[in-house]
Amino acid sequence: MSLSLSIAGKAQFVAYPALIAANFVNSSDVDSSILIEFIDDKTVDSESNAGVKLTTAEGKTLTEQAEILAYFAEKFPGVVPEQAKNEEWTKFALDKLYVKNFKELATDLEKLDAHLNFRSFVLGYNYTTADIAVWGVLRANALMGSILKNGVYTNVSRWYSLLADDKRFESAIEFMTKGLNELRKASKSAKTGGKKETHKA
Amino acid sequence: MADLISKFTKLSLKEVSSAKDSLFPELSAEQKALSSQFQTLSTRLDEDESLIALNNALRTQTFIAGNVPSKADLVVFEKALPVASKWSSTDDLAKYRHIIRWADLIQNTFVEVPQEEQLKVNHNIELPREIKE
Repeated sequence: MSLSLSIAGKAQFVAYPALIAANFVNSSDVDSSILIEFIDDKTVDSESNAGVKLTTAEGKTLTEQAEILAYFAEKFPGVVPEQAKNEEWTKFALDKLYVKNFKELATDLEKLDAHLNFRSFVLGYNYTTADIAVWGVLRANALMGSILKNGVYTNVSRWYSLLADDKRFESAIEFMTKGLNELRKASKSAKTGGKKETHKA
Repeated sequence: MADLISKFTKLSLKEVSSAKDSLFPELSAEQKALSSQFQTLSTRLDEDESLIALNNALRTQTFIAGNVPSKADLVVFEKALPVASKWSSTDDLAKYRHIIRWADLIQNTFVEVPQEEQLKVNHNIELPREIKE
């Protein structure tokens, strides 16, 4: 079974949720892995407008994160756990939380913060794709850094930090940053005639 | 941690005091300090001061020792459950919301509590948002 996920690093909405879900599969002991490819551009290829693309084991192409998360949850139950009502929060994350308008974002963060008053996870008592979706989108949103640091939404900050401490979340992001840096280095050296850059003393 | 939760065989309240630390991941020095600090504090949960300290700690961390579960969660939970079961006014629920959130997590992951003794939590109750001072 061969699965490959392509992610555009300069996309308007970087597909961290799909990346984290793939990392859940790759760091589990299930007998298959997902090939992850990074593209240093706004889209994954010139034909499509998509910032993310999954080629499934069945040869289908998925370019919507909601579909990709649902596919992983169906294909790898127990690894990428899904629960009923997940879709509502996944949709909420993908539709609302990428927004770069502070006022709009604040309204939805208040909703999430209220939801997390008596909840340690978005749904139930362990990770689900809803956590992966919400965390991944917030991680991709440049407005979130200072909001989280200042603890404006106490419950959101607590929940976010729990997941950030799990190696499958933050390390997926580090993996991508590293991958993109290597691509940039390679393309730079190709432009300078393939010569390796040397450090000047 | 996700695997730990899904594979954990819940302990009964009676088994809590004899539970082994090795059921949980190893703690860092800082986490160990928090764990023993709050186990000591849990003997004084009749004092409001102790409850406020516990609630404050659980505001920023999911478990007693930080972002990792430990035996301290079980020990403190056993002591906190009878106290928390008495909270019913919206004021109390708002004031101790983080203890309630955590206790509900523990009784659904690590400790088996008989139905009638469980902390009843209405997850959707509306509370005023906590504003950081």
